[in-house]
Amino acid sequence: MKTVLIVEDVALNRDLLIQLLEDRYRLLLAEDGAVALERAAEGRPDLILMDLSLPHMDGWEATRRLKADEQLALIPVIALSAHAMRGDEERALASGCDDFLTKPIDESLLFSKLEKHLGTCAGYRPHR
Amino acid sequence: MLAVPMLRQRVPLGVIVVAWAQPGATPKSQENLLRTFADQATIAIQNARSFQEIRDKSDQVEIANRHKSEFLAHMSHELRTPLNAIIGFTRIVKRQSLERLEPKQLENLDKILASGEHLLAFINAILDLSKVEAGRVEVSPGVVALAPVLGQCLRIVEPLVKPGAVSLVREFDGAPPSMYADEEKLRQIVINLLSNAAKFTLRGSIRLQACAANGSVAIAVVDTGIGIGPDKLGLIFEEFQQADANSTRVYGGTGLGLTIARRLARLMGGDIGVESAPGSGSTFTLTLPLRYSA
Repeated sequence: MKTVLIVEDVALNRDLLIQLLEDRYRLLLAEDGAVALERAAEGRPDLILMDLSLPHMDGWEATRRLKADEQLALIPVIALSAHAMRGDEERALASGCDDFLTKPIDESLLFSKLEKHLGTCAGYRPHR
Repeated sequence: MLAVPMLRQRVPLGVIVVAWAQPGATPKSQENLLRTFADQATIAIQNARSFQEIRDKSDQVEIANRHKSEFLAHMSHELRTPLNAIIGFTRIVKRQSLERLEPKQLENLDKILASGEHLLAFINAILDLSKVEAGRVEVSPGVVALAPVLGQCLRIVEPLVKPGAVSLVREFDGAPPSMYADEEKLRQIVINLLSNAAKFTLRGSIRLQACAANGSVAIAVVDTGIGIGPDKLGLIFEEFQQADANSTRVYGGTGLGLTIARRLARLMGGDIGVESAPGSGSTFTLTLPLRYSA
């Protein structure tokens, strides 16, 4: 089972992602950028779902640091953001994020991006 | 010694005082010269002050506008976060208990989902509009293959059309093969016009036409829908003005689509016009220059 690190500061959103993903992936959790870096270094996840607006260290900075660390640079990072303002996607990609998703999360889009970056079929069947 | 006041609308701005080394009477001609000089100086001072005031005002407007944009960005974030949870958890509940729920309960879950999605569309529309208004939307023009783009627009709105009762007709074989425009915005406008037509047309047809004339392209959406009364025609491009106060409730929509579409069209050097009468359908025509230039 692949491991996914969820970086999200809002408990409600974290819970939502956990419920969506817990059957398919082993999950690691972090509520800010600094904790995310620690979890990534200890747990070596196969992929990181990174919220961008985070306390202490935001997702852009955390991604920059991940991508600057040669041990961790190859872990794909999917930015997850409620920011729908123009320029957010460009900013996220410029920080080194490999992909970008806006909230509210489109489940099938989330799963197809996870599959794409993890290179596995997660067995997701969209429901009506 | 001679003293001449500098008056602006009877309010003194200052006094010009001239003193002569030799005592004696001041000639009238010099007094007149000094008065003229004082008047000129008053105007110059006044101009400088007005200029400063305008500059201060425009700085204030710019700051206020920036605050507005920041406020909207922040508000969007704050609204989307709980909305994310509402929509997401409702989907999970629905999926996990599809077989166990009463039809009525399922229906209620669908209402929660539909309301959440409507709210989301609404927030997105407000954000779009505020971005256009704040001048934060840029036109990125390129070569657009018109017919394929129009074809895609038709396919996107196909699910919105009343099945069996309304036919979607492509009438853009005479369209110019390509134009120079912002494809994404063109698509957004055409989809908006088509989905409006789909919403207000219960039977008949929706025709998508395109032709070129005099250096511009006219793209028309012709429907056989409910039509718009002459008193409402001028209002439908205003914010929150569907033709009937009740119609957003009956037909759905945010009431912002046409406002955004027209702003985008104008941003690209074009416009959107409408011809309609109640009961005899509507024709919305988007005109754009064949070659966009900033």
